[in-house]
This record gives sequence, structure tokens and C-alpha cells, in this order.
Amino acid sequence: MQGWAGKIIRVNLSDGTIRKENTSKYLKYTGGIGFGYKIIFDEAPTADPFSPENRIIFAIGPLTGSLAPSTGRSEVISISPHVYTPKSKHPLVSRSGFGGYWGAELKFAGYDAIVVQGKAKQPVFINVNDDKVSIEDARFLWGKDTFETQDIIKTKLEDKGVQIVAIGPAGENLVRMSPIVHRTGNAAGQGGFGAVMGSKNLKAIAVRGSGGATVANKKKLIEYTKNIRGFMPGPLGSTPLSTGALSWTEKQVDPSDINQQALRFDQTKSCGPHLNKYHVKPLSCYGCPQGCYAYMHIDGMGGGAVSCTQWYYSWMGNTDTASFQASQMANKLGIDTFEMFPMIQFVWYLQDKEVDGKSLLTHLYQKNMVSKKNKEGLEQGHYPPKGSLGSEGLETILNMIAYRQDFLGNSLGEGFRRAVDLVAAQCRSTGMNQVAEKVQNFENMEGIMGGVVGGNGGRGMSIHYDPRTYGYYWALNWAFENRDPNRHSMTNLLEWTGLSFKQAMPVAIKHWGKDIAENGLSDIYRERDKPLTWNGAKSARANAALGQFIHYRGCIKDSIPACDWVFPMMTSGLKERDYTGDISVEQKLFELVTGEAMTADKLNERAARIWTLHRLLTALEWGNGNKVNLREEHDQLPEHFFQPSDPRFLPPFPPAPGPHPPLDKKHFEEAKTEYYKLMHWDIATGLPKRSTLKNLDMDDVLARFEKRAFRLPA
Amino acid sequence: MNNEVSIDKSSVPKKATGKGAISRRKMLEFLGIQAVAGTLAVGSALAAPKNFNPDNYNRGITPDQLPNTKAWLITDPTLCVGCRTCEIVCSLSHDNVCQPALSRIHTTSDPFNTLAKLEVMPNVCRQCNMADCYLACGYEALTIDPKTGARVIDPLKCEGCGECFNACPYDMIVENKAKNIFSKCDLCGGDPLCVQFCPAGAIKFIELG
Repeated sequence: MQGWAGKIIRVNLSDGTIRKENTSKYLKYTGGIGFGYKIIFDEAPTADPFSPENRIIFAIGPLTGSLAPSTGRSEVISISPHVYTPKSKHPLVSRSGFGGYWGAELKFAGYDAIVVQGKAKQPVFINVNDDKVSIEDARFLWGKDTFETQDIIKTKLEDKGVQIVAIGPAGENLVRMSPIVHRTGNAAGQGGFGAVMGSKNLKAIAVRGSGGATVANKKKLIEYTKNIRGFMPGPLGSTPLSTGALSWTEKQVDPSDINQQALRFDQTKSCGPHLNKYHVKPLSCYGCPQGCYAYMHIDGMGGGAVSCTQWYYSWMGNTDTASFQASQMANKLGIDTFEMFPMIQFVWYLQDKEVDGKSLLTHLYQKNMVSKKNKEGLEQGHYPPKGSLGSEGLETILNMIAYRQDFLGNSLGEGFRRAVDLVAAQCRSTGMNQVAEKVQNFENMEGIMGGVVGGNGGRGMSIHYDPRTYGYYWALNWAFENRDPNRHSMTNLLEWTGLSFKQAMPVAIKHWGKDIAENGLSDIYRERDKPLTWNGAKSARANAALGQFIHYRGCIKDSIPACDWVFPMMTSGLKERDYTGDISVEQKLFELVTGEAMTADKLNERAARIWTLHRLLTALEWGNGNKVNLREEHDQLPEHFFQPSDPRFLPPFPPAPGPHPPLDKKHFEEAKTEYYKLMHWDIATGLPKRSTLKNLDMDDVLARFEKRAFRLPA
Repeated sequence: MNNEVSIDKSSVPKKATGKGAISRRKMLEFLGIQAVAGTLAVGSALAAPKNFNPDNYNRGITPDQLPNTKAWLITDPTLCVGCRTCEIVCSLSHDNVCQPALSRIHTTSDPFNTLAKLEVMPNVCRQCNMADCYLACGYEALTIDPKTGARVIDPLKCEGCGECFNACPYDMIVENKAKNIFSKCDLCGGDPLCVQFCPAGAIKFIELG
């Protein structure tokens, strides 16, 4: 079969061995996260994130490197130090993807994945050049930022074409929300995989390949790609600040003109309009016509690509060049920009809340939990008029996190949710019970921007899309994933496209039928006092179906792989298509590249296999092999999503509407029941049934699970 | 001085990095310096191309005998978004594999050291009038597309000697190591796929009338 390179690299940093194995034994799991979950399930499912036996897997898929548009992705899979679920006996497996050129280069070098285990005695980087793979000394790179690191390796290897993933100082310091960075803006952001690399003394992986990506049907792939490019929606609008205005509908650009696709989009204009004069041009990943990165350049800050939440400082209200500095610094130091929303909210909260007439931050300062200099820096970073929300505040918080300065910075480096617990505990231990209580209250925080940055979703990290706004299907998504469950499968229909709810509904009906569309979707722009649509059993079924759609599409996107922003192509800019996209594009591209005849059902089966394996891994980790009830223990949302909201936890700045009315627990549980039925999982425990695994041709997985853990429901 | 140039076969350039290679223009300049300096041997640092025979150079062809090109690819590097679709579709259509290393159009990306607008940019064959590749070929493998005037390498006639590769001052000749032949931009017969698929309008096909 075409598409896969056929080989996987295995590197053991403890003993320095490098070997290669055939990809064939993993092909049932397609690629990307499918390979990653299978390797972790087989080899080290309950390893500690920072232990040498934890595997970190970089995997691509059959479409990587090919002409199939927007498929140049790489996936990173490992047991995550970032996910925070105190009720689980072991840390949970997680995933994160990144674009750029690295994945395609790996394919050209002849590999489908790199699996790293062990821990090097001193800092190293892995160098892959076609069939030559070596472990190189990286002591001279330790402490360097991700941009410098890439540049130095390119110079050392005397090849500008080498593609590199690297970690910054934060990853070296095991900061739990430290990403792996490629080029200037491509990052495997969530999961703390940069810290996993840091724990292995692995600074970077450089890849160079002279080969290519084979495809089964060249002529048809070229024709079909042209066809897709004729109706695919233009680059997605990226922020609520730009609702509608960036959309192809309002820009009146004919999407059948496949030229100029990337140029329709100007991220800077929507996300950091005050920096327009520094916008150089849009930037794309390998094989992608979308150009969703803004390439910026400011003297003294250099050049860098910025996209979406890398604009966090601007979204939080900054209006000077620090908006770009924020992205540059986070990417160079290696700090997940999405986590910066609750981080910044937290340090604001520490300043806004008082006990005995003094701010919480002042109390922390008096107990030596933060230095005078850093306290003053954080105060500079407060929103105006109290602070200036500029460079100084930004540099203070980022450096505190990356270099774990003071007790407070060291706690923030553990991720915002762990930080809340750590700071509260420290306050209690120094007798400041009232302060501790107030600090702890921050766990009930609300997300900003009207729910797009959804607040504390229960996995210990910043999380996307408040289900009170988006729907019960999204609540299911939060409940089943181990991380921020962000998928753009639904927002590509209801948001970013510029379609009104009235225009989007006929499109939804075409994709899923009337029952699911009308009983499952709510208008996300409805009045803030209106709850979600709920039509009893019909809504439970519809939300379960949409939830499953998101999960299957997520597994497909992360395994073939295809960009989450672009796929599925729910909509089109063409009026003559009634704005309807085509959600069968993935299966057609898969068929043209691999030569394997593909249907929606067959691709869904591949997705079900990956999603079920993820479920089993989670069950194994949650109970350490003991019996677990995932429905009751894992598949939950934080309680405050079911209670009327407390506006005190929404910062007054930047101005944003409060959340929609709370979710109804009964509706949530009904939707869960329907979801388990759809997945053929046990309704009482949420565990995959034995028959489900057999039907998915996963007998080996079933046997291994039951040997290690417990007997699954029949 | 023809016979005075010794050839170190071990230093024949093997890789299309342009590093070990030397263009024909550079070579002639070098030989000129050598003649003045009266030095006889060519050192291994500046390698002579395989089968190098100065008699072959220009093959006696004069400008009036080599028809001008009729079309060009022109690029605006400030528009390039670095998606590399041009490289992918070029290699797929010509060589049946998505392999930028075989693409006849190149992109370069250097986010750290270049002028901001050139962070990524395409590089195309100039289809030179007095094309050094054409003049360098000793095997009649270089032909002219009558429609576009493109200088085209006939893969059936190419012997893989690398003269064209070494001659090109723009490093736009591509080595296909698997097939041991060289290739170059043929303007796709007049409707280049790189132009069709560029999402940024950074590449244009223009006819010179």
C-alpha cells in the first residue's frame, strides 16, 4: 500500500541504542495518535510522565507529505505531565499535534514515526538524515531558546533544509505546560510534551530526508485536489474579535478561484490590529493553502509566526508591541500560549481579591512566596488602570514560569490548576487560611471571551468552548477526553465561517439529517439568558451522535493526519452549493493516496479502533489495573458548570459576556447514556465491551488489557 | 590550455547541494584566473565536472542559433506563504512522487536570517536565452519546447553526466539519483501546475510575445 514510509525509528536514550522496525504491525491503527496509543498501550501504559520508561512518540500518517491539502501534520503522544486528574491513580495519556515542515521531512527521510524512551546522561539531540540516525551531544544547546537551537543546529549541520523540533528553557525545567516548538510558531502546545523531552535530556530532533511521499493515484489526486480547492472554505477566521468579518461570505472572495486562497486572510487585522504595520505576510504549513499564520517582524524582536491563541496578550487587552513579544517569548521559552489565559487571570485574581485589606498577592509576598521584584512586575501586568498590561508584566510572568522563579513561579510552572492547589496549600501551611480559601476558589474560574476560552474544564488545563454556550455534545467532548478536547469539527460550521445560525442549519441538515441537526444544535450567538435546546430523548440521541462525530473525526484527523482547523470541510463559500462543504473529503483523499478503497463506514471503524484504544488506556491508567467506573469517575465536568455562574470569577477586563445558563445534569447524563450505546460501550461503567473489541478486530488488545487489568463487560 | 587541465575524478560533485558543484560561468572564470596565474592543476576544492571537455562548451552554438525562450515563470517572493504546494505538485506530476528534492521549482525558508519578506520564497528556472544547461549538454538531451521555448531535458537522452547541473548559475537543475538522470523546469507545456496551485499568487506564467 502507498502512503506509509514503512519504517519506524526506535531510540533508547538510556543505552544509546537505535533500531528500526517495520510500520506494518501498527497499520491497523492508521498513523499519528493511533500509532502512539498502541505503542504506549503495548509497552508502558502506566509510566510516570517523567520516568525514562515513558515513551514519547512523534508520528505522522499516510497523507503526510503528499499533495492532499492541509495534511502536513505531526502528532505527539505520551503520558502527559500536564493533565491533572487527582482522582486518577496514574497520569493519563494525551496527544498534541503541530504543523510546519517537520512531518513531511520525516516521511521523506523514510519513516512514519520516531519513538523515544529512556533518559540520556547529558543533553542530546537526535539527528535523522535519511537512513542515518544518530544521537548527538547537545550540551552546548542546553539553556538556549527554541529559535536559537534550531538555527545553531542548522548551522552545525550546514543545511538550511533540515527541519527541527526543539524545547526551550521551560521544557528543560520540566514546566508542565511546555510545548515542543518547530519553526517559529508551530507548536505541539498542550500536554507538556516539551517537559517530557526535557526529562529525557532530549533538546531537539533534527530531520532531513531526500526521498518522497508515494501516492496510489497520481492523476486523480491532482484533479481531486484542484476540485477541493475550488470549494473549500477560505482560511478560517480565528478569533471572536473577528466574528464574521474575516469570513469568505463577507469578504466576497470567490473560493472557486483557487489562487489567492492564503491571501484572503490576515490574522493580524483581527487579532492584533494595532500591529498591522508589522505584518509581513501570511504563512502556511506544508501543502496547505490556508496561510493561517501571520508572519510578523518587529525590530528588536525578530520575525515570527503568530496564529490564534499565540495572540493571547492582545486578546487579554494589550495594545502595543508586547502582543507580538508575548508570542515570541512563549515560543522561544517554550510555554503553551493557551494556558496563559488562566495564568494571567490567576495573577490578576491574586491582585483583585483581598483579605484584611491586602491583596492575596501581598499576602504571598509577606510569606516570601514571591520576590519584591516579581511582585512589582506582576502588578505592572495588571489590566489598566491599575497596571499597564505591557512588556514588563509579560516578561515577569513568562520568566517566572519558564525559570520557576520564587515559590509562586515554581507553582505556576506546574500549570494553572496545580498552581491553585499548591499556592492554597502553602498558604494553609503558613496559617493563612482565609487567603488559602480565596486562592482555592479560583478553581471555579470562568473562561473569557464569551466562553471561547472556556475556563477550568476539569483536566487541569485551559480548555476550549464552554459547553453552556456550545451544547451538550461539547459537554460530552469535555467529559470523554483527557485534555482540552479542542476540535474544530463543529466550530467549522457554527463559528468562524461567518454563516448565521439560520444559514448553517440547512448545511447541518444536509450532513446529519433533520433529527440530529435540529435537536442537537443551539445557536451559539443566542441571548445570554437562553439555555440550550433540549427536546428530551431526541436531544439526547442527537447530542450523542454529534459527540461521536466529533470524536471519530478527531481520531481520523489525528491519524491520517489532517489539520483540525481545516477538516472536516463542513461549509463552502459558494452560494450555488448553498454554503455546503463536503465531509467525505478525508475518505477520498485517503483512498487516492493509499489505494485502499475507503468509505465513511470504514474510516469510522478505523477511528473507533483508535478511540476505543484511548478509552482502554484511560481505564488502565485511571485504576492502575483495578476495576473502574469511567462513567462515574472520569466522564465528568467540574461542578460549577451545573450551577448558576458566579460573575466574580469572570475578570472585568477585557469586557466579555458572562456564560449562558448552567447545564442540566439530567440532560448531561441522558446524553452520556446515548453516547455509550452508540459506541457499544457498557452503559453502567462506560467501559468498552468485550464484543465491541472483537467487532473492531482488537482481540489482541482485549487479551492484553484483561491480562493486565480486569475482565471487561460482555 | 585545454590539455593542461587535470581532472580529479574523486572530486566529481555527487550531491545537488550546489556546494561541491561549480557553475559553468564560475568554471570559465576560474579557468581564466588559472590561465593568468599559469597554474596547471585544478585542486580538489574546485572540482571539475564529470566528462569535462572545454571543446564541448557552447558546442559551437551561437546566440542566433539558439531560439529565445517564449515564456517565463516569474515570482513575487514577498507573496509566497511557504506552503510548498508548487514543489509537491511539480514532483508529483513529473516524477510520480511528492518529493520536493525532485521538484524543478524550489522554495527556501529561513525564518531567522533573511529579510522578513523573504522568510519563505520560491526560486524558478529562468529559461535563459543562452542557456548554460543547453550549451553544456554533450548528448543532445537538451531540447527546446517549440510552444514555450522552454529548455527541456529529454530523460531518454540524458546520460546523467551532470554537465548541465554544474553549468547552471542558478542551481535550478535537479538530480534524480534513483534514475541517475537530471531534470529541469519544462514549463509544463505552457500551463504550469505550480502556477495553477499556488494559493498566494506568488508565481506567474508570462508569455514574452
